[in-house]
Amino acid sequence: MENNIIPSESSNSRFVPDIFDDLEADRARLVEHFRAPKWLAPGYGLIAAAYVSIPAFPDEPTGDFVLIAAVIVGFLLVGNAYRATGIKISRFGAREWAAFAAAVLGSLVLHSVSLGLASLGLRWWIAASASAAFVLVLWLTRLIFSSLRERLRNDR
Amino acid sequence: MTADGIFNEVIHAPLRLRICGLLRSVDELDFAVLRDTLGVSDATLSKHLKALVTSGLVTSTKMASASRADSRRITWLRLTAAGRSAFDDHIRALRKISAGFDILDITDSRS
Repeated sequence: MENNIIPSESSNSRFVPDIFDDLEADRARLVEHFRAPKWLAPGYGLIAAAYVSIPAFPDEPTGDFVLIAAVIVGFLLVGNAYRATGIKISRFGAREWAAFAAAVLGSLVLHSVSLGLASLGLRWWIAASASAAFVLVLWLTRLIFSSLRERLRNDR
Repeated sequence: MTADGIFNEVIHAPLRLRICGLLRSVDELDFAVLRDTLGVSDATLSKHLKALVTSGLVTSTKMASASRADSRRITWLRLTAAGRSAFDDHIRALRKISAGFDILDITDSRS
């Protein structure tokens, strides 16, 4: 039976360290539960690969469609990841923002490379830059998630 | 928010303190994740959440779940701004009590 009566300050002090130990143990259990769904990082990798491969499709409607679909799928992945883990963490720290910026910049640079390859008529080589984007964003997404896990473990 | 903290009667109940501790570290938690992490029954968790919601410390939002065949929903739980502030104040108050106890220990060992 739970005791909701507030103990006196002196008796309280006897179990305060136990209270903090309980909170730490709960946090550790929550971190164990916070695992990235297997499809999350590959999903973002595919989005980046799709964006980088846009120059392979010279007609504008295809490029626009890929871009809009990539943005929508990106949001759906976040929503589904929240549902799969049952945990919502939206606050990014410096490390997560840096990784996110690297993913965006890397994708932009590789998109430019694809544009260059397309202008030179080397359309099949765009598959290489798209693969590079996939690997880069896959790795950075995993980095962001593990960084969020570490922050959840150590946040005070 | 005060430097010494404010002891909060609603939060101090052991399970409610643990609930607030978990909610403090995230934006929102699913009811099922919270239940599994704490290792309590649905009924026990619901009872304590009701007290926290009634006090304006926690909010709950129900969302439909496409992954479930039945009509069950995901219940997202979140500490309100008042809840975060009350929990932080309560922790500060506990730390102050703990620090006071440490000083008493030192004094006892010297005498």
